[in-house]
Amino acid sequence: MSTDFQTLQHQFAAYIRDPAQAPLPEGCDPGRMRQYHQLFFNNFDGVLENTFARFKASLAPNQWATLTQTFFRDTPQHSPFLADVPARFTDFLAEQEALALTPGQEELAAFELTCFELRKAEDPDHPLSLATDGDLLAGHPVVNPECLLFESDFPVHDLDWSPVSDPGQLTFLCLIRDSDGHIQIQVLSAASALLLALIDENPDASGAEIIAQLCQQLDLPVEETRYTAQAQLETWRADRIILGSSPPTSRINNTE
Amino acid sequence: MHEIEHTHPALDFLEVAPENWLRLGGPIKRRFEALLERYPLYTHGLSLSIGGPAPLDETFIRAIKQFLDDYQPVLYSEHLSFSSDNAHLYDLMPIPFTEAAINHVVARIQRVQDLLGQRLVLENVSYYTAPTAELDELTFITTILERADCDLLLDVNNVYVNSVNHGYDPVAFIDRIPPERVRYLHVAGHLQLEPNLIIDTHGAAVSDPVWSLLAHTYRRFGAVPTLLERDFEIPPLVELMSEVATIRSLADSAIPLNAHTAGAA
Repeated sequence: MSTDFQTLQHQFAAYIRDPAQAPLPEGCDPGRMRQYHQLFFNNFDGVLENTFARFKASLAPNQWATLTQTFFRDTPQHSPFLADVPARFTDFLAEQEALALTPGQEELAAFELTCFELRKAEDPDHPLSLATDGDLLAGHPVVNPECLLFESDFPVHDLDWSPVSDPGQLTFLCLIRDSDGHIQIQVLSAASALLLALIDENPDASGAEIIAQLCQQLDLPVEETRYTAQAQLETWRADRIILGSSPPTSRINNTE
Repeated sequence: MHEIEHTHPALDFLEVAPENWLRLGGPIKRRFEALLERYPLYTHGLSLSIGGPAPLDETFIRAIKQFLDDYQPVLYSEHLSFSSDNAHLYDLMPIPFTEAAINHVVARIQRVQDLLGQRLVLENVSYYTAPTAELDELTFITTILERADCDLLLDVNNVYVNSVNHGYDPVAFIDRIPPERVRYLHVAGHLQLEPNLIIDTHGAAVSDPVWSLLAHTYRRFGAVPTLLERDFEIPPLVELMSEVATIRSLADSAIPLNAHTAGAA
């Protein structure tokens, strides 16, 4: 009695993932099955190499091969979208024991994934009530949905930084998808990063309320900070990190 | 893509994989939509896994349907293969050529056609080795087309690749395909590794034997819409347009059935 076709299918896929361990499916040529393994693996490897170019460059070639081959062999991909594979790879990097990575390398991979995801991200809905020239203190400053804050213990944006040998440094970055689809990077101070985070976390608060909360959290003088924070908001508007303002609808910490 | 956007070459249509475009946003999506103002769209999916052993992913199929509803392509094609077992491999594996597999695939095609509200157009895939079979490849394909009442994307390069890899006559293969099922053609280049092993790379110009087989295909089926596939080692557009011109000239010498002939992916 011949093997049923679905068992053959499972064997075929298993052999492509792991030709060293999996049994050869009945009737298949081992040399040609190895071609399948190489072709399928190369497809994964190409996607990962494109997404994680700097992380790959931080590794010796055999280390990269160890990671990608282990990933290909052991990590089931449940999304029908090949573009979801890079995110699975960073999950794998956090869990794998095949190779010891530095925290800087793991963080660099996370940064490259974030850039990849932002480049292809679906278009969000823009707020209907956006006033591009609106008052950023009286209204709620509207952050461009095509930008996001990336906080790290390492200067992951710095091409001269080595994730293997250089020390950490608290780093706040604003990543912006520009009109050509490229990712632009702005380095922020800790206070500016908190300001941007508070805007995002309090979608109903006015700019003035958000600045007041910033001052409270960082123990800063309100009047002086309002001036510099307002200047920062206007700079962000010029850089399209902030698109304008919308009417505030409630206050921070409103308990009603 | 840049060259097509800037020079607007004389193509009858473009083809994309819905999987690569349906969740994209930003400038790349706007560029895609701008091209659709100029060119009709054909679609060619990758991850349906119509022959796969796991249940159909109906959430994914509904996402495909949404894409088809949004962009109204001329047709949606896929591969007569499987690309996943319980997890995706994002590439094409040959379904074992058995009666039980035919029954399995036919039921799944019918379900997908019901969900999409349109006929599937399935491609004969290239393969390098396959598990022990009960049937030959041609019987497997034509039986499925008939029982599922779906159409064929006849990949002429794949017929040639498989004829070399598995030792059969490609012309006889083409001659036994039922003409009424042939809705769309693909041609592409390949890589010959050994005298009896060709890899379907889409990374080279179309080879002379494939051009000859395409000419024979047109003589048999007429000028069916034809896509030139190129995924790797992509040359300047002018070189690809020269291959498109060859497609047109071969199609012109056949019985004219359809005004749309040559596109690019």
